[in-house]
Amino acid sequence: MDCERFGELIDAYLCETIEDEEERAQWRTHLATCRQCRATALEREPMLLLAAAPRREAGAFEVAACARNVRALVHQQRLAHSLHRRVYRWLAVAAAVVVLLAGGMVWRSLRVAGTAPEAAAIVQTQETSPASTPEIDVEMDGSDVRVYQFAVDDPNMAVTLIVNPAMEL
Amino acid sequence: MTRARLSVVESGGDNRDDRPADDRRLVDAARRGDEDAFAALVERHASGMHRVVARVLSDDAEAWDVVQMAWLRAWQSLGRYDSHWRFSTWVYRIASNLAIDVLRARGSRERAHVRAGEAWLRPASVASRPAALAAEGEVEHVLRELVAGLTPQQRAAFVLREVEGMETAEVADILGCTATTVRNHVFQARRTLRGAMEQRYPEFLPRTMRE
Repeated sequence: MDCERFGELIDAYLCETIEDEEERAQWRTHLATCRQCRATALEREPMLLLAAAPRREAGAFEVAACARNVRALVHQQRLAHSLHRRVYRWLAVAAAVVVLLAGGMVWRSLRVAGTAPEAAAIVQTQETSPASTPEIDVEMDGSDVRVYQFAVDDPNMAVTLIVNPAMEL
Repeated sequence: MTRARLSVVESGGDNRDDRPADDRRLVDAARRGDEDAFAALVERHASGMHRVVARVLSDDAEAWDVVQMAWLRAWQSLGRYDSHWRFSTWVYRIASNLAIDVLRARGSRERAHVRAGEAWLRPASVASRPAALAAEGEVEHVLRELVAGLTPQQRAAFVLREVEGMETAEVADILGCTATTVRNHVFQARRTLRGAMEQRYPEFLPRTMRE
C-alpha cells in the first residue's frame, strides 16, 4: 500500500468502514512501517499508537512452563477419572451383594411366619355353622312378661327381648 | 526500535494462517489421547493467548492461570470441537470467555498491575513522542491503565482486533457476536480510551491536541 492510499483510508479505518480485510491488514502494516504516515494518522487518532505497537512474545521458558503445567493438569484429571470409574464399579458390586443378602433374609422370615393364617380360617369355619335356637328360661315375680321377637334377614339369627312391664318407659 | 522487531508486526503475529493443517493433525492425535500432541498445541498457541488475556485482564500472572485453565477446558471439550472452525479461533474463544468471566467476577474494582522493576520513562522529547513507536513495555503499561474503563466485551474486542490485528470475522467467532458488533465495540473503545489518555497520559497526544 502506498502513502497516498494510506491517507485516503485513514477516515474509513477510524470509522470502521473498511470491509476488505486484506486492505485493512495492509493499512495496519503501513501504519507500523511508515513513520511519516504514522505521524499523520496519530494526529487524527492517538489511540492508533496501540495498533502500531510491536507485539511481545512470551519467553520460551514461560511457554514451556505453561505446557508442562497443562500436561500435569490433564494427566491428573485422567487419573481422577479412571479412579472414579473403579470406585463406582466396586460400589456397584457391594450394593448387589447387600441386596442379595437382604433379599435372602426377608425370604427366610416370610417362610417361618407362613402357617398362622390357616389356623384362624379353621376356627372361622367352625363359627359359621348355624346354631340351634337357644332356649331361655325367664322367671318373673307374679308379673306378666312381654316378649318381643324381631324378624331379621338372617335365618340363623333370632332376636328376642323379654321385658318386665314395670321397667318400660 | 529495529526493523526485525517491526517485521513481527508485519507478519501478523503468530502466523496462524500457516498452521491449520498441522493443528488439525495434532488435534486428531490429541483426541485419541495423545498428550504429547496436545502439549505441542499448547506450545504453539500459548504465547499469543497469553498476550491477549494479559491485555484483557491487565495482569500477567493471572493471565497465565487463565491460559492454563483454558487449555484444560479445551482438553475436556476436544470431543465437541468442530473441525470447521480453525483450532486457534476455537481455543482463543475459550480463553477470551474465561478472561471475560474473570473481569466480570472482579466487578468494577480494577487491579492495577505493576511489574516489579518496570520503570515508566518520561519521554525526553515530547514533540516527537507520538510519531515514534513507543517501547513495548510503555505501551503495555499505558494499555493496562486505560482499558479499565472499557466493558469486558469492548476490552476483548479491542485487544483482539486493534492490538492483535485479527480479522473481524475471526474476532466475531471468538466473542460469539456479529461483525457489526465487533466494529461497534472497537469504535466505542477507541473513543473511551482516547478520553482516558487525554486525562492520564497527555504526553502521548499529538502536539495539536495538547495545545
